Parts: sequence; structure tokens; C-alpha cells
Amino acid sequence: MKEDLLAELLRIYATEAAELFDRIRDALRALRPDPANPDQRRGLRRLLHTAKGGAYSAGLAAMGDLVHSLEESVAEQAAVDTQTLLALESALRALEEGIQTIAREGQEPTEAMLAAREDFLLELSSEGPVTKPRDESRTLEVARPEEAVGRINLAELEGLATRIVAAQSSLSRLGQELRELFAWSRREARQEGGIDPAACARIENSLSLLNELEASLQAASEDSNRMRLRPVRGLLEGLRTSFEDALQRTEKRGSLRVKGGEVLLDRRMAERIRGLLVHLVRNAVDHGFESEEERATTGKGAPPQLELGCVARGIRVEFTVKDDGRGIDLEEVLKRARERDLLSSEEQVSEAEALRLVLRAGFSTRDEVTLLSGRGVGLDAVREAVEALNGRLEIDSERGRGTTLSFQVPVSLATERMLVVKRGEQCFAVPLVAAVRLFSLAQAEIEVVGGERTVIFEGQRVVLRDLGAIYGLSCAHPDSAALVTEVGESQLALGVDAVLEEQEVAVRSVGEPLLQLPLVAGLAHLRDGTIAPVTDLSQVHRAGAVPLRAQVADSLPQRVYRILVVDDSLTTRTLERNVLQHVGYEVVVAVDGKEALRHLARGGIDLVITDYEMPYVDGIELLQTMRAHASYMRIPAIMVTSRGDMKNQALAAGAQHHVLKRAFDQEELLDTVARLLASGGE
Amino acid sequence: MSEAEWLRQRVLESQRVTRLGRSEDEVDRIKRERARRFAESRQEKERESDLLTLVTFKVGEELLAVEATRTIAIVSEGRRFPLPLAPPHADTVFAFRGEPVVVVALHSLMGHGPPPCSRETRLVVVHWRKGKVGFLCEHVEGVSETRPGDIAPTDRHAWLQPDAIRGVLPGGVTLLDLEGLARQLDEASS
Repeated sequence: MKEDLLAELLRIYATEAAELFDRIRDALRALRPDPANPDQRRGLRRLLHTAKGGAYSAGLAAMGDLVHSLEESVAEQAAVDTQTLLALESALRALEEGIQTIAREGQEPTEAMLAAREDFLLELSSEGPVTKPRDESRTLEVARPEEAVGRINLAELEGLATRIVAAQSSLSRLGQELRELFAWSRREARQEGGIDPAACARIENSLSLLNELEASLQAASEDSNRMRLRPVRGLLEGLRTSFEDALQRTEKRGSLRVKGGEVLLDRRMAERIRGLLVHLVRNAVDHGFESEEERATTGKGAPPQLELGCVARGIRVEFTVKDDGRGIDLEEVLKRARERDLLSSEEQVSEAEALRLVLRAGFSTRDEVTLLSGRGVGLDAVREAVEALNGRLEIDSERGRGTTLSFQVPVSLATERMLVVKRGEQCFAVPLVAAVRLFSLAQAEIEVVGGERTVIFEGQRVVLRDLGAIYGLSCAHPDSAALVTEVGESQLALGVDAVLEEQEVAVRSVGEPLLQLPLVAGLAHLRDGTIAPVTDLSQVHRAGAVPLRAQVADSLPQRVYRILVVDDSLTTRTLERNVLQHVGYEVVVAVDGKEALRHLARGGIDLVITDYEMPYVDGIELLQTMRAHASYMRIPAIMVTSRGDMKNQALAAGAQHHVLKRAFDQEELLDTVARLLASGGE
Repeated sequence: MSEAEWLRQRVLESQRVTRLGRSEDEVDRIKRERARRFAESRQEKERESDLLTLVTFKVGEELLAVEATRTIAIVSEGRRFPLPLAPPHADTVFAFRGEPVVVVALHSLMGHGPPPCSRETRLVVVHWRKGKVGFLCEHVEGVSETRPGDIAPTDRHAWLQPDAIRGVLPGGVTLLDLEGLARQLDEASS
């Protein structure tokens, strides 16, 4: 869809929806005194149906899904009960806010709409089953009343958890002091003329009281942790509509089976992964499911089935999206990878490695971008999002038998098990899930390859980076231990002094005024009272990771440069991204200078290509900000504009090169990019 | 009877009662006393409703103030922990009621390092956008009240941007505009 057409549709829908939502509110008000009135219900349903159709036409999939759920809730009940009315009003408020966001920002607030939908379904299910399965093949269950979770103020809960951790930390220090005092008093009491043994006994009593207090606090901590968790059933229930919607849009048939709805997951984590699961479900239907004819030809009788699974694995939860569709054509994958220079013509890879190519940035075996799972978001985006949660996206597929995608995420975002490491005077918290092994550097064989220290770990050469150097610390002595960490496909050994201990800690966001503190995922309040930065391993790895398959004999692989393309035009962004990805660059896109600065703050950007006229922060401001910032001042930049008179201004603001859009020549752009990357922007 | 008529009659009645058996001087004295009391009650009302309560503290050589309604607590400087890669004005954090709170050292905007720790060093914890920050200061001068009319607008300051200042108080105290200051620190961070 052309961008201007899409924008026009959004504008039209924003106006239409504002009026529709007013009428829906009136209809809800009219239903209150007479919830069984068939005319009122029919009227409400018609309005919701119109709102849904409009949303889908304007490309607002998440908003359409939300309205669809509202419509279903009204359709499937003989009378709209009070609980449903309240849930509908609450969802309507979310829709109205969504429309305001669209009017203001010109794009759908997808996450907010998905969250509102899950809240809506959760509110309905908290009173018992409202929506009944339409056929027997669906195995989704609804929450039983005793398991129901009402609206809980998550921020207050997290605040409570943090205060408990702080109290535990103070109590732990007090306990240490008291134990030392007790040991001293016992020594003194044994000496002639020492302190009264009764005083010694009183200290001992205090110590046992303290132990009781510690036990109570531990129980309170476990209770507060449990309160943040809820069954994933609500999350999985929400995916059913996405599945059905995908079937409808692709005109395919199929069934959905869900397992593991009882597994508990942190509410905030559920919000983070909902979008990923929606994408995987749509992707499975769009790419995996065969048509009826194709299925009949291959001897598969029944319509394709999608299975969503969830299993608790210790401190992590594993999600699986498995279809019994056509599977991935490895020959096609290899062919496409070679066409895109992701693989040389001579290079041989295993089946598993070939499958992982599908997760690489910009990879697609479909020539056309479909409305359903296209729009520039591929499995690489899902992989990146999973890796940002210190997880790993796994893929398995057999031609003709189906594909399985799975990933693990921590149960909770608020508290996590961390390794406390020390480098110089600074303590860091490293997520335990990403820590693979710790070993002393005294016995390790360190070799410098390509200017980088490397160590051998399980037969592979892994880059070793001093944690102090990564965070700009000056340490008086060299690192003495290596902590091997793994994020997605990459491994990196972090040089530290020591690993002090393992702790369950409450992680808080850095917050104001440091929203963009690089390489820090949050702050951990440790038991001894120390506040330590939590290493953002996905960012740290991006700055210096090595693919897992780099073998001992190999030299380090050639670095893949990461280029940031900044343009508010979808067409231009797509064009530049395709050109760059085609020759093997990794590309990150931003719609304006403000978003670009956020990407820059995350690190790992080697070159910036920017437009001039953009909302919020334009290209000139972006360049000026880059040149004034110590971390970005050396990143080369190219300005691509439609204005020929901008050249001098662009160069003065810090661009190394200026390209005119109407004279766009991809070879020239690629030559310039290669030259600037090779010379480091000189 | 209309309202205007009623009011006119009340004034005439008041004048009649005031003049009853009194000399011109006495009537004049009564009128002046009434005027004084009327003015005093107005001033009293103004004091009650419009007075601003401010917390004044010293940063470097300057006296700064924030509204008491934005202030959560004033605490002694305890353990502070470094934040690597943070901008110099916000490169430490401390635990406040079990929550990590960033310490803002405005000294760095003046080009100075943080002050040496002393018995008087304090952190003024304030509401800051959706969270909290603690302003590091040499000492807290105290809490005072001021009338809004006494705040002189200014757009000049050596190291604070114009929208980070609400004005200057008598005695040269600079009243901070925390939203404007947040924007200035955003710029300094980026």
C-alpha cells in the first residue's frame, strides 16, 4: 500500500472512529438499564462491526482485533452483564486513546491495543467463561474463578517487591553485625572479668528474632513475586483472534491447539512477548499453512494445525509455535542466501545452520511482501526482540512436515537471578540466564586475533573484552577471570576480577534523568545495599560478538557493518534498506531523528544515512547532536535529501556526503558507504 | 427591591449610623479604620492563598530554590554508587526508601566537580517527571515563604537556560523550574 494512501486512510478512519465511538458509548449507556434488550444489543453490535471493518481497511490490525473481541463478547451473550459492560467501557476508553494517538502520530499504537485487548479478555474471563469455543478442535480454556486475576496496580506491586528487597538487604547487614557482636560477646564472656553472660544471651535472643524476621520477609518476598505472576492462558486466549484473522485474510483453513495455559508468567513479560507471538502465529499461517489443494496433493487430509505450547523451565518459560504445514524449503533458503551474499557459493553449511539463515536480518524467501506478515517485520525482528530479553529463538523444520519456532524468556522482568561481578571498584549484575561459564585467565590460552583478545572455550575461539573497558572504567590491574556469556547466536567472554555471588534481585529501570544510559538494562539493588548496573548483554554483544560457529582454526569473521537509515518516508526507507541489505549490511531504520538518537544510544551503529526534513528532530539537528556527542561524533553520516540547496548545510552540520534523492544512484551510494566505513568517516 | 437598590440603601444607612452624634473628624477616623481593616483582610487572604513555600539550598556559590510541594525529603548524603557511562551531572545513584534514585550534581553544569562530602552535604529529593531525583547540595539553607509577586522574572543566568528558571527571589536566590531544568539536562545528556 502506498504510504500517502495509507496516511489518507488513517486520517479518514480517525474522523470516522471518533464519531462511531461516541455512538458506541451512547449505546452502552442505553444498555445499562435493560441489558437483555435485543434491539439495543443489535445496534451496539452493528456499530462495533462498522468500527472493526474500518480499522482493518485502514491497516489498523491490532485495533481491529480489539474491536472484534468487543463485538464477539456482545454477540455471544443473551444479555450483556455488568462485568462485560464495565469491560466494554474500559476497552472503549483505550480505543479512544488509540484514535488520539493515530491522529497525533499517524501510526497505530499496536502494543497499547494488544494490551487493551488482553485486559478486556482477562476482565471477561475473571467472572467465568463468556466466549465459548466455536468448535471442538479448539482446546483453549478460560480462567477458573479461583485462578482469576483482577486489575492489580503493577507499579505498586513492583514498588512493594523493591522495598522488600531493600528491607532484606538492610536486615542482612544488621544480621551480619549482630552475628559478629554475638561472637565477640561470647569470647568476652569466657574471659575473667568479661561481660555478663546474660548480655550474651540477650544478643543471642535478638539474633533468633532477626532470623524470624528474615524468614517472614522471605515469605513476603515470595508472595509479592507470586502476585506479579499470572497464568499465560489470557495471553494465549488473545492469540486466537489473530489466528482466525490470519486464516480469514489468507483464505485458508486450519485449527489451533493450545497447551500449557496454567504456566505462570510475569504480567510485564507477557506484555513484552505478546507482539512476538502474534507475529509467529501470523507467520505460520501465512508461510507455513498449505492451501486445501496443496494439502490434498501431498496426502495430508485434515486442515493444517497450529500448536501453541508453553512449558515452565525453572527460572524460564519456553514458548513453542509449531505448525504441521509445508515446512521450510532449505534449497530455496540456501539459494536466496547466496543471492544475497549471506553465504558464499562454496560455503557448505549444516541443515541447522541453513535454517538459522532464515533468522538473519532482511532474509525472506517470499518475493512479495504480504499484507499479513510482511510490512518489513520478519523473523529477524522476532529474534532481536527475544535476544533483548536474553533469550534465543530456535527454529526446526522438516520439508513437508512443518516448522517449530521456540524461545525461552525469564519468568519475571522485575526480579531476576544475577551474577554479581566486580571489575576494578565497580560492581555489575549480569543476568544468570546468559552466563555460560566462568574460568580463570591465568590458565587460559589467550591469543590476539584481528586486534582482539580471544580465548578458547569448548573448541571455539571467543572474543574476550575487558568489562571495565566496555564501560569506560580505568582499572589499575588487568582482568583475571573470564565470564563467557551467550546471547542468541553470539558468545562473548567478559573480563572481570571475580564473580562475587549469585542473587535474586529486583531490577529497576534507570529512570529519569537517564533514560538513555547506554549498555545498562536497569539497576539492581543487591543484598549488601549496593546498587549495581545490570549489563545489557544484547547491546554489549552487538558491539563485539562472534558467531558460534567460528572454529579454532578460523580467523575472526569479517565484521558485518550496521547502518542506521533515518527517513520519515516508508518508500525511501524501504529503498535504502533493500539496497544496503542486498550487499550484506545490517540495517536499522528510524522514522525521525528522535528515534535515530535512541538507536544511537543503544550503540553498535557504524554509519548513518539520514533525510533532512523529518518530524521532531530533523536531519541537521541529528547531525549536530551526533557531532557534539563524544560517543557518536566519529560515526560517518550521509544526508540524502530532495533539496539540492541543502548540500552545504548538510556538510557544515557534519555529514561527510550529500546525495540528492532525485539523482539517487545506488552504486554511488554503496561506493560512498564502503569508502566511509573503510576510512572511519575521514 | 432590586439588588442595586438594596445595596444603595445599605450604604446610606451605614453613612447615617456613622454620622449619628459624631463630629466630621470622628466620622473620618471611622472611615479610615474601616478602610485599613478592609485592606488588611485582603492582604491576609493573599498571604494565605498565594504564598509559596520554598526549600533553598546551596550549589557551588549559588543559592537555588525549589517549591516545597515538589520536595519529597532532604536526606544526608549516604552511600552513593557510580553509574558508568552516565553524563557527569547524573553519574551516581543512591538508595532512597528502597528505590534507586539518580543524584543530580548541578555543579557539573557550572564546570565543577561534585563538592567534597561534609557533615552538611545533603540530597534534596524532588518529584521529577514520573520519578524522583536527588539534588546534591553543599547545604540546605532552609524553608521560607515568598509571595509570587516578589519573584522577579529573568532570562539571564550563567549556566541555567532561561526556561530552567522561574525567577530570582530577593537575596539573589534562583527559583528553579524543574520541567525546564529537566529539558536542559536532557540536552546535556544527549
